[in-house]
Amino acid sequence: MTGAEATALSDGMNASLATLKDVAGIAGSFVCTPNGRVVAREISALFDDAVLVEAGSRLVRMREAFAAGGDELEVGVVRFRDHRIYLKSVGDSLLCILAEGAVNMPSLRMAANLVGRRIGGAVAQLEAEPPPIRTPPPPPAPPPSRRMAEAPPGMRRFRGRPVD
Amino acid sequence: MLRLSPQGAILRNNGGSEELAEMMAYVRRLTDLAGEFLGLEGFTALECTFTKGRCLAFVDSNGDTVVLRPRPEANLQALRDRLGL
Repeated sequence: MTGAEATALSDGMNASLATLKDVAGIAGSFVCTPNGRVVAREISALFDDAVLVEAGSRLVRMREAFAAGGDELEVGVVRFRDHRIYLKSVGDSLLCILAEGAVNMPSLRMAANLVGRRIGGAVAQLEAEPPPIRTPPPPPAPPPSRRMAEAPPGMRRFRGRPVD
Repeated sequence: MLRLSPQGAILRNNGGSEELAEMMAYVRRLTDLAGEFLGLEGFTALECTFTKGRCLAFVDSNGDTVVLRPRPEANLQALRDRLGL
């Protein structure tokens, strides 16, 4: 798959995720693959990609922990004081929806089911893609060394003037 | 039913297993971390639906985590409403 094809798939998924916001109280959503890639997002730019990767990889690991015990997660709801995270398995990936505590849960479930079905094919294609190779950033350039006023051999200098 | 201390120790076990306790202690930690990254505080409860079965966990007033594996026919709506799930 070319980069342009992957981008087109992600854009299509982002458009599907945007429809979740029709349910009042949904702050945003993203899709995280088993290898921790965020392949689609429709959430405030306050949450940068690195944050979503960190949070998503923990949620994916939670799913793996259940799977290790023989439980295949279909849907999960994690409740915090004022918010909740709704999780839905889409293929081997997780659709993560961030919602306010007072969100209408039946509407959220229905919307998540529909979106999960719609993005399932694209998620499966992107899951099959190898993760992008991360090249380490180039080492920082050494700070410019301060050139000391060097005196020629045999000469001593003080404040720029030769001294005996 | 399992009751786990904030450190993950089993305080009470009624039909649960050590594996379930270990898994839930780990899951609790992961949900806390995921919440922290997203700026969410105060984990209160978790409900999971599996292909076979369900699991419900919540933090009680002592800070202990109570884990339930309800029977398929059990109606959890009242508990869900109480926990805000």
